[in-house]
Amino acid sequence: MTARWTIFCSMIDNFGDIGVCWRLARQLVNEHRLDVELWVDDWPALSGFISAQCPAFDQAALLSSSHILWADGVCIRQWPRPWKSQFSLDQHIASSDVIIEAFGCELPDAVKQALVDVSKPLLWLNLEYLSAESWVKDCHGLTSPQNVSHLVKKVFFFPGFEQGTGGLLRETDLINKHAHWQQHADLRQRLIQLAGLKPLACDNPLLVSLFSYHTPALTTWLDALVEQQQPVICFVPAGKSLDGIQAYFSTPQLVAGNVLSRGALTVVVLPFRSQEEYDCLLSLCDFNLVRGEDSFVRAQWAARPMIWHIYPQDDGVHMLKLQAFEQLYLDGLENDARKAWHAFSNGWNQGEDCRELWHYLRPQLSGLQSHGRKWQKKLAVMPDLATNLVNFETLFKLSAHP
Amino acid sequence: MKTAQEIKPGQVIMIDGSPWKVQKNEFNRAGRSSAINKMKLKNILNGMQTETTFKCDDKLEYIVLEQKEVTYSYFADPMYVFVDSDYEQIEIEKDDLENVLMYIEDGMEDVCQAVFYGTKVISVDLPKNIVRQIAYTEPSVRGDTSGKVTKVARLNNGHELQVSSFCEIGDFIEIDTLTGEYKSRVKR
Repeated sequence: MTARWTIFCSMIDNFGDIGVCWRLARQLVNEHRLDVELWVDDWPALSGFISAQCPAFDQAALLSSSHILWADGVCIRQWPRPWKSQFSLDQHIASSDVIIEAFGCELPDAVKQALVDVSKPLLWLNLEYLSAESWVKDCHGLTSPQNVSHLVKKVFFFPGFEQGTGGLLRETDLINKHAHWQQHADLRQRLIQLAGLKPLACDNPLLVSLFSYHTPALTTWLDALVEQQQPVICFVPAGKSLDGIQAYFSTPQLVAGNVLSRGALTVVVLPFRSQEEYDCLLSLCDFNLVRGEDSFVRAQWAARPMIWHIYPQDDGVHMLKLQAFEQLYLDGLENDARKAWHAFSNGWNQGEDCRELWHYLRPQLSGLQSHGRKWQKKLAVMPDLATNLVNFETLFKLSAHP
Repeated sequence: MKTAQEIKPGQVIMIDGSPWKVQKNEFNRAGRSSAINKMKLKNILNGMQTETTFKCDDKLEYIVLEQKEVTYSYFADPMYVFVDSDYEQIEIEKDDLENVLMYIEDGMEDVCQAVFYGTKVISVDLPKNIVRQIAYTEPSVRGDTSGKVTKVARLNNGHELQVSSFCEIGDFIEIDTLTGEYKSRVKR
């Protein structure tokens, strides 16, 4: 019988959490042949996300659906808040082989209660946020006793960049896809044409993508792009990232398809795209500014120069996380490029003036690109997150049924 | 019930009906607002040790334990021996003194609290502030009286810590046993 995995996902900010959970769910179904139920709490936001991933779905129809839908082999169910406890449903979830609470979201109390009476071994995983900090390796895979049935084992599972962590999400064919996208010059030309520029007339523009949180650094970086000699096309997916662009161009409401120009800079507003289309965009751009967790990881697989806008935390702890990543990512990079990357990354994440910092970073992009390829290869040697999860569950089963 | 982040080393939590003494409790911030506590635990009944993680707001059942005033007497390898006010001897293993071991020394007069689970002593707590003598440190730095410049000092039992640069061999210093930090030089 096929194992059944249940994933709980709370959509907190934009599509980061669901982006990761959706990728994981699809990979578990497509590559590991598992039954996956994905419980999501924000149905209206989910319907927008899913209709972008699967164009066959009509968003309006999704909204009026019975709160269960199938997409790419994944059963997606609405997680009602508050949870409406039904004995049969709680038991159904408790009879899963694996339950994942993504990013520390809490299981409904009724489901936890149902875990007291399970009749077969169940692995309960708390899939945590990605961090490069050293403590992650010490905590990865540790149990978390919960005073439920002795057949239930709760474990903290940490994604990570090093051996001894849970690894990163990476589909089997992802590296080949990036190689394919980057080999086909016509794809890049098509992207350039979105800006309304004729390929031959635009003198090999620099392509950049922008997906960041709000920061005063944005204005200063745009100033730097405006004044540089080489034309630059900045692709911005529709969404909250557009606020800063609207303010910069004093434009009231930007929508997908809008193109704005000032000096050397052309900004193209893209529609909300499927994950694969976004991967392709990252692959074709010469520089990517990414944020949070999902786009951050995908930019590393794209192996292009990138800067990470880390999720800001009140107590400034995010800067420690940024430093921890920097220490791993920049290892082996030539000194000038390292300094330039560090300066821009710090400047961007602390909302400083990035105008000069960009002019310092810009000449280092080719070195950063070679480095990005080495970093991609280094990461690709490790098993991916989904495979690690499946292997972990296999070991759990063996220990439960020796 | 207490949350995982409220639990302190030395306290005992119940897991699956067994009492586990918390030997260490480390707090780490994960992404967004979530945080994680990693605990080193020792089963009081069978001595088994393990490491676990909890969300910082996971609620844990902890038990309030009986305490008794004791003073340190001597070391009889592998046990540390304390005596109570009735001169009854109380023996405790090195592992159970992990958080205070660096301050244990012959002749110490601090009144400590021995913590019991049933009849078994599971830990000894020192007073928050204790006084110890410096056995060795480099000569003082002339001119610094602010205390902001520090240097390493070794106590009589070999434990080393940072002290103000004006401290000298033979000086008595006050130490905060919760943070492990030097507080001030004291006269005796």
